Amino acid sequence: MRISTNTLYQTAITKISTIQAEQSKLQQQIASEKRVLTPSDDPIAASRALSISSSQSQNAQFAKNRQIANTSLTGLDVSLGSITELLVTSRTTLVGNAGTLSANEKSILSTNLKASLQTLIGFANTKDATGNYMYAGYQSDTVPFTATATGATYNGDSNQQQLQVDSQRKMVVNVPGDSVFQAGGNDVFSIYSDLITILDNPASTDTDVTNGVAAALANMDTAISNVANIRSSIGTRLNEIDALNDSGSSRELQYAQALSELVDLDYAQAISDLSQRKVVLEAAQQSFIQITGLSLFNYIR
Amino acid sequence: MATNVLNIGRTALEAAQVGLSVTGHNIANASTPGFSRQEIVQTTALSQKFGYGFLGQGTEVTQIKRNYSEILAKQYNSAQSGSSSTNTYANQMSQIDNILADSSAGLSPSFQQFFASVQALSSNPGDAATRQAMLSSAQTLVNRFADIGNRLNELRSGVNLQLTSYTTQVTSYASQIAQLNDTISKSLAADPLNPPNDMMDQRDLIITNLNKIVKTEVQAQNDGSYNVFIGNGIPLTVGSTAYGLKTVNSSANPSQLEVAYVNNTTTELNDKSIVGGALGGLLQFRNNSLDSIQNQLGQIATVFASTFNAQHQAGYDSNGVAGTALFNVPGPQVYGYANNSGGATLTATITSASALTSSDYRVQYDGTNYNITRLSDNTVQSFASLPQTVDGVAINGTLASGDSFLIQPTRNSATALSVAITDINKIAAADSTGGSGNNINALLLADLQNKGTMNNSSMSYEAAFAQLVSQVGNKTNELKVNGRAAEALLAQTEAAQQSVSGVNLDEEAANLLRYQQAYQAAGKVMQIASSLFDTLLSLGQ
Repeated sequence: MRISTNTLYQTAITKISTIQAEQSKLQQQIASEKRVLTPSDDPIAASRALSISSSQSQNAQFAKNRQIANTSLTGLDVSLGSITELLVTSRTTLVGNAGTLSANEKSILSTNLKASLQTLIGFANTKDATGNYMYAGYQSDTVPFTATATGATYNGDSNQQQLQVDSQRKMVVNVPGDSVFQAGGNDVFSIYSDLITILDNPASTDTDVTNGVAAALANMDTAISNVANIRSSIGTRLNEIDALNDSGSSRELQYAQALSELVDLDYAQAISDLSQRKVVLEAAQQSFIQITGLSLFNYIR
Repeated sequence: MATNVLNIGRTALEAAQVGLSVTGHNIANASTPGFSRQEIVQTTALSQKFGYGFLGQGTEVTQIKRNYSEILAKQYNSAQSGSSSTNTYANQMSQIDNILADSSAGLSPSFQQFFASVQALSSNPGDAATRQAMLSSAQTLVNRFADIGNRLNELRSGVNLQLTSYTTQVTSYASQIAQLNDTISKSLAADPLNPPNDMMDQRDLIITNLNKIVKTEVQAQNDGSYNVFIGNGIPLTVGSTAYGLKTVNSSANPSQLEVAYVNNTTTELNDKSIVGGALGGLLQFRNNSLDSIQNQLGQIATVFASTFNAQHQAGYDSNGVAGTALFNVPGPQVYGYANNSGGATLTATITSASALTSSDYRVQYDGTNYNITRLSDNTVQSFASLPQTVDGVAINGTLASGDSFLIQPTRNSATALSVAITDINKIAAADSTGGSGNNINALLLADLQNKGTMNNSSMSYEAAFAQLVSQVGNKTNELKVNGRAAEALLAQTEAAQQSVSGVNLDEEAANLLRYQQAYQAAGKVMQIASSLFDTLLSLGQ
């Protein structure tokens, strides 16, 4: 075929600019560490990467939620531990005062119980790390227990706050105060105040006092076992959080790997492609110079 | 006898001179666009009969012809129109491809951030900072929608601008062709054997350039003029009469320009009649991709805002008051056709976001029935009266017979979406029970992230966006591949056309030498003739 001089130049220029475009693309890929720069580079990978990164971000959010749940439940566990300790100490004191008591002994016991009751109300009004009352149900900005002559009244509610700790799991992360301190009609504060009333009443007979201490002991045992049950259920949830953390981390790894396989660049391949293009470009440039240097006009003198 | 030899020498000298000039012209125009290589047609002069036979009278140049192949030019032009159309479409799509490519600034991270803030709200519903963070990320998400929407709008006005400049160009080409037609046909009428080559090249170049803008067909007439037809056979130039194109406001949608044909009157053209070239590519881009992409983005915005609002309104805020809308959801846009008879108006409201499609709708009243056409697939539903609800959009109004309206349920939603509340206490995280630790509604709001809310409950917001991204990616990829194929075809047909019409400088160099030597030889012939004459003259001395 007859070749026009224009075609000769045009072909060479087109070839060179094609190689340069490929080089520029490789350069962008290397600079951004991504194989897929725009959705059109690999539409399927680009759209799958979007849904995986959404799962990845939610997984990370659930991990944060678990951390918050963990903090709340651990805080509750510690607080319930202190409450148990207080109740057990009071119980020991009661056991030590099971017989007939002198007026002085009654007074000492009464003082002791009053102090414990104050401490207990303080525990029941504990705030968590974010400044919310732990034992108030949804009424987390209201002081849950206020002391009265007959013990304390509950100002919170019985609602359980849940958190999304995994894609399919909502977990209860609070304990409403009534379920700790007033479970099944057994009001812990009244155990104290009832006995204190008997002890402080000069008209109380020795039998009244002995019966009062015995009743308090029985109720105290019920309260201690109730708190123990709650702590055990919190322990179970903390274990579950550990397990969910493990599966969350392994999912995170799996998502990161999948994303990387979808859109990340194979460096070795890219660098090798780039140097291969360089060789081709040099060859194209040299052959262009050689071909265009060949002109009959060079020989016309 | 000597005069005869001198004469023969002179014809040879002249022919060599013309040859040199034509070669020089070729060299001069080697890189002139549209130039066809010229060559001389040289024949022997009429010989003279003598007693001893026919005696040659030298040579003559009968014509300077251009090397031009109509069929190759036609193939080249057709490839030009195809390549220009595909690449224009591809370039426009690449811009959307790039808008969606930005993974850090795209819609997905904003969605994820927003729902993370809703999750955070559920873990600490009474905290002012957490509530503020949720409102801020709602604003960020709204801004992302608006930003992408605005960039798509810029592409749309870019299409309008380009349509205007291309139609102006076409009109100018039309009158240039008409003038050239006139000059060429007059010149050929005067001297049919000697065509005005350079002017014909100019006209053919205009045809090629015209093909870059719109598919162009040429019918060569006997008088040498071209009748030119563009698109689906719309006459642009007939003899020395030129028509033209311009842009007019679309009669159906005043927000966009359409191409119109100008002869004595101006007629808005159906987009389907403009095929090929940059104009064809632009219209295809707008009709087949931009409209649907913008609608789909708007659909995600509308459905997201409506479904989120619905759940938000089911909850209760910090003050125990029932929740209000968190987002202002933009309503459908309704346009009356320019040629509607009366002042009838049509209203459209979204009644069910999940039933929405990404299509536009046309409502036309024929005097008996209201025909509602879903434009994406041209499905028509006919009703004897309004109001009616079609695909989640309630349509109401009383039209005059022949009236038509265009409804765009979601076209503008991405840019018009906004956050409706500024008071953090109005975030409805709780249910009716109340309490600052009440997070029931916050949990339900967070659940919306993965819920099938879109397209009749089949898809989540993010899944719908991922589908849009994959659609844009696939289309762009397809266009790039087609564009490369079209360019390869163009290069091939150009090389074929150039193999006939293009200048090869080596060839011209050889011709220079050939005509130079012919000139020198002719000179020698004349010198000999002259010395023969001298011989005769010296006889008398």
